[in-house]
Amino acid sequence: MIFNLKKTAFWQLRRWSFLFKPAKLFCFFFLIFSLISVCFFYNSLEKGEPFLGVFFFLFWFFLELHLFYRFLKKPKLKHSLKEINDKFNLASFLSFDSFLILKKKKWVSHLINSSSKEVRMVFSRGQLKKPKAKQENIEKIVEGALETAEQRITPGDLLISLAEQSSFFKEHLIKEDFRKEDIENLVFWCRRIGKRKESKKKWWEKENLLNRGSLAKDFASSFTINLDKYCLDLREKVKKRGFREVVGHEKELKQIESILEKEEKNNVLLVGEPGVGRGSIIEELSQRIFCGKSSPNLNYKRVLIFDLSVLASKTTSQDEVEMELEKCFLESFEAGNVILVTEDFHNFLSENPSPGTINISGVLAKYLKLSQFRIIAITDYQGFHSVIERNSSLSGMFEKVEASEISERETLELLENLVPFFEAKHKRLIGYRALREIVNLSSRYLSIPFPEKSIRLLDESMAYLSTNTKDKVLEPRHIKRVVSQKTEIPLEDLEGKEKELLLNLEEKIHQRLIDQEEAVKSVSDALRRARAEVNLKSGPMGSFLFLGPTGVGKTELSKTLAEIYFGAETKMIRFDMSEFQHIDDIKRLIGTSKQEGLLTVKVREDPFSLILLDELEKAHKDILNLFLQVLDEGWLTDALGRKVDFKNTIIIATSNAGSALIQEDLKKGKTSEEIKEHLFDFLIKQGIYRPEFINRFDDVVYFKSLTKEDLMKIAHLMLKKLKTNLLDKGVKFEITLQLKEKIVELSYNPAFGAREMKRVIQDEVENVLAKELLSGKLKRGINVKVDPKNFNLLTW
Amino acid sequence: MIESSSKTPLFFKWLHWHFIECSGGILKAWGNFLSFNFNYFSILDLLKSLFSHWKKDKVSYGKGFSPLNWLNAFLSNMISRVLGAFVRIIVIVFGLFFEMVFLFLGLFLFLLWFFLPFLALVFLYFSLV
Repeated sequence: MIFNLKKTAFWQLRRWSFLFKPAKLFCFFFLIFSLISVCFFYNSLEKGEPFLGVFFFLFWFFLELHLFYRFLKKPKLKHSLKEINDKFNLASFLSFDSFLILKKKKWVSHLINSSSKEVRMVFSRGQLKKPKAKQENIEKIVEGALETAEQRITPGDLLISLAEQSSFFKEHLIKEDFRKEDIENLVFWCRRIGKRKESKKKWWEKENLLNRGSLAKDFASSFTINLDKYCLDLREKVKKRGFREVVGHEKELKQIESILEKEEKNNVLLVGEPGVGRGSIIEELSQRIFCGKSSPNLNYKRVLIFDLSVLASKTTSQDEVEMELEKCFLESFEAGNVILVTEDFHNFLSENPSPGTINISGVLAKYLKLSQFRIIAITDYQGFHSVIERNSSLSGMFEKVEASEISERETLELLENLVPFFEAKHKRLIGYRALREIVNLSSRYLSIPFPEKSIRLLDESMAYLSTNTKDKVLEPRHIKRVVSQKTEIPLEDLEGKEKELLLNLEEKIHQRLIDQEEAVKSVSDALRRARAEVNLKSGPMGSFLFLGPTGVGKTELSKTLAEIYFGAETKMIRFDMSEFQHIDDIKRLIGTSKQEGLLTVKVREDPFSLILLDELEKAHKDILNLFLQVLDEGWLTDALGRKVDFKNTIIIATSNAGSALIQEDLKKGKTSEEIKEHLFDFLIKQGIYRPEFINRFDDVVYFKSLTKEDLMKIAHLMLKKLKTNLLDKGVKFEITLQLKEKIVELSYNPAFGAREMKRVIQDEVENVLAKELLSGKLKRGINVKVDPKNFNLLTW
Repeated sequence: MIESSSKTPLFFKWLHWHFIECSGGILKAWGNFLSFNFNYFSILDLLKSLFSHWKKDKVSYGKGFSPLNWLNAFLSNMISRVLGAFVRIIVIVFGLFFEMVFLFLGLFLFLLWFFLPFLALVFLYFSLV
C-alpha cells in the first residue's frame, strides 16, 4: 500500500498552524476587549465605535478560525476504511493526532509518549511501564492499525498494531504481563468514553432530545389507582436516576420487543438464572420505551414492576387475593398503556398456596388472552421446569425468552462502565489489571453467572480496599485476597507458584508417583499448553483417557494432580462410572426438574476442579455421548437448560478395558508401544469406545505395568508414609532393604500392580505395629524395625 | 494514488464549512428541536383524542332505559370530555407556543450564522469610517 504523509490534507494544514493554534486564545482576548470597550464607552458609544468594531471583528475572526480548525482536524473522508485497496494513500486515513506523531522522525517514541487520550489510558489505567522505543517499519504498523480502526487510524490503533507486530514492544508486554488484547480493551474503553462524552455534548441531536421523554401521552389512558399500590413505575426510576448503559442482551431485547408488539400471545416469559442480567434487560427496555426508542406500539407505555409479595402480605385469603388481582389486572387492561413485570413468577402459581404465598394463575389466565394486557413474567430454570412448564394452559399463553449469560469480554466492558461509580463512591482508583483479574478469578472460582459474580466481586473488593487498606489503587493482589477469603483457596501467591509448578510439574508428581514417565509428561505438557493459552481448542483445560491394568497409578496420578494443581485432593470430583450403567443414570448426572445433577451441580459450585471418571468403560454408551460435547466445547446444558461451564476443569477418565489382553501381551513379552497399539485396536474393534470419542481427549495415555524395581520404590514411598505417622507418636521406624524386598516378593503380581502391596503392608506390618502400640510395648523414643523373615518387631 | 481527504484550498474549504456544513448543521438541529417539541407535547396525539374522556373516565349507560340514569351518565361523560378537551387544549397551546419560539429562534440563529461574516465586515467598515 502507498503511504505518503506529504500528500495528505493535514500536510497542507501544517503551513497555517501558526494562525490556527493561537486562535482560541486570541478569540478569548478579543471577547474580553470587546466587553471592556462596551463598558468603557457606554456613555459615549460614538467615541468607542472604532475600538469596538475592530475588537468585535477580531473576536469573530478568531472564533471562526478556532471552529474551522476543529473541523479541519476531523475532515470527512470520501471513502470508508472498508474500501481501501493498494491504490489508496494510507496516510489520508490517519487522525490528526496520528499524523502529528507519524510525521516525527522518532515516531515510535512519540507514539509511546503521546498525550493522546487513548495512549495515556493504556499506560496509566493499565499500569504499564513505558518501554524504550526502537524504530519500526511505519507502513507495516499503519497497515496493521487498519484492523481496529473505526473511521480513522488513531494513536490507539497504532499502539495496538505495535503490540501485534513490534518485537521490542511484544517483549516488553510479556515482561509486564500484558497482552495485545489488554491494549485493545483499554483503547476501546477510552473510545467508548470519548463517544459517550461527544454524544452528550451534542445536546441538540435527536437522540439526546428524545431522552427527555414526553408529556401528555397518558391523557388518553385511565388511572390505575389500585395497581399503583403494588407497583414500581420504572419510568419514574429512569427520570430520577438517569440512563444506564446495558451491555449485551441485544438479542433478548429484540425478542421481547417483537413479542410485546404482537396482537396475540403478547406475553413474555423471561427465563434465566438469577445474576445473568434479567433486571438489566427490563431496565433497558423501560429506558427505550420511555425515550420512544422502541417500536411505535410500545413507545411511551408504562413499565410497572408488579410486586406480588406486597399483595400477598396485604391479603389474608385466596378470595381476597383474587378480588384484588382482578381489580389490578382490569385497571392494567383498561389503561391500555401498561406493561406489567412480575419477578419470581413461579412463586405465585402454587396449586396449594401456603401462608404468605398466593396463586394468581386463575385470574391471570383470563387476562393473558387479551391483546391490551401485556405482562413480562420473570422466572428461573428451576421454576420454569418444576412449576410453569407443568401448567401447560398457562405456559401456552406466554412466549419464552431465554436470558443467557453474557461473555467475559462483555462483562469486562460492563465493569469498565461501572468504574466511575465505584471510584466516586470509595474515592479510590481502579486499575485495568484489577478488572481483568476480577473477570478471570470470578470465571474460575465463583459459581453464580456472569455478570453478577464479577460485579459483586468488584463491589466487595472496593469495600475491602477502602476499609482494610490505605492503598489508593485497586490492584490484582486485592482481588486475590478477597477471592481467597471467599473461597478459602490460597490464591495470593498462586500466580508465581503456578508458573513454578507448571515448569516443574513432572518432578512434583514423581514425589508421589513412581515411573509412568510417559503419562506424567503427557499430562504436564497438556496442562502447560492450556495454562499458557497456546492451544486453540475450546474444551476443558485438559482431558485425558488413562488406559492400563489396575494398580498402576491411574487414579493416583489424578489424586496427585488434584493435590498439586488444585490445592487439595478434595478438589477432585470423582465418579465411579460403574454406577452409571443405565440410560436413566444420565438424569443423575445432569439432574431433572426435581433433583439437581451430581455432575452439573458440583461443577457449577466449583468450576476450578479435577473431574475423575473412574472405570469409564462400565458406563452406558449414551453417557459417553454426553461427554462428547463437554470434551469438545467445554460446556454442557443441564436438565433445567442451564449452561454449565467446564473450561476451568481437567477431565481424567480411567479405564481398565482390555486388562486381559494386556496380561497376555505382557506374558508374550511385547513392548509398551506394541501393547498400546494392540489395546487401541481392541477398544475400537470391540466397540468399547468409538474413535470420535477417543479423539476428543487431549491425550490417551497408556500406563505400563509396574516392574519389580518400580514396586521397590512404591514400597519405599508407602513405608515412608508409615514412618512419618510413627514419628508423630515418637517412634522411630527404620526401613530396611530386606523388608522392602520381602514386601515386593509377597505382593508382586502384574495383574494387580501396586494394589496388592497395600494389602501386604497392612497385614504384615501395620497390624503388628498397631498391636504393639496398643499394648504399650512401643513407647516414645524407641527405635523399631521389622524382621522380614517372620515380620516380628525388633526394638532397641 | 487515491487521496481520500479533500485538498482544495483552505479558503474554499472555509466557504464550504461555514455556508454548507455549519449552516446545514444548524438547520438539522432546528428541525430536531421542532420535531422534539411537537412530540414532547404530544400535539398530534392530543389533537386526535381532543374530545375523548379525561383519563378514560366514563360512566356506562347501563342496560335498559332509565331517563335519570341516562342523564346522569350523559352529564358525567360530557363533563369528562369537556375536562379532557380543556386540559388537552392548554397543553396544545403551550406546545404550539414553544414551537413558535423554536421556529423563530432557529430562524434567527440560522440567519445570524449565515450572514455573520458579512455582518462582521459591515460592522468593521462602519466603525472605522
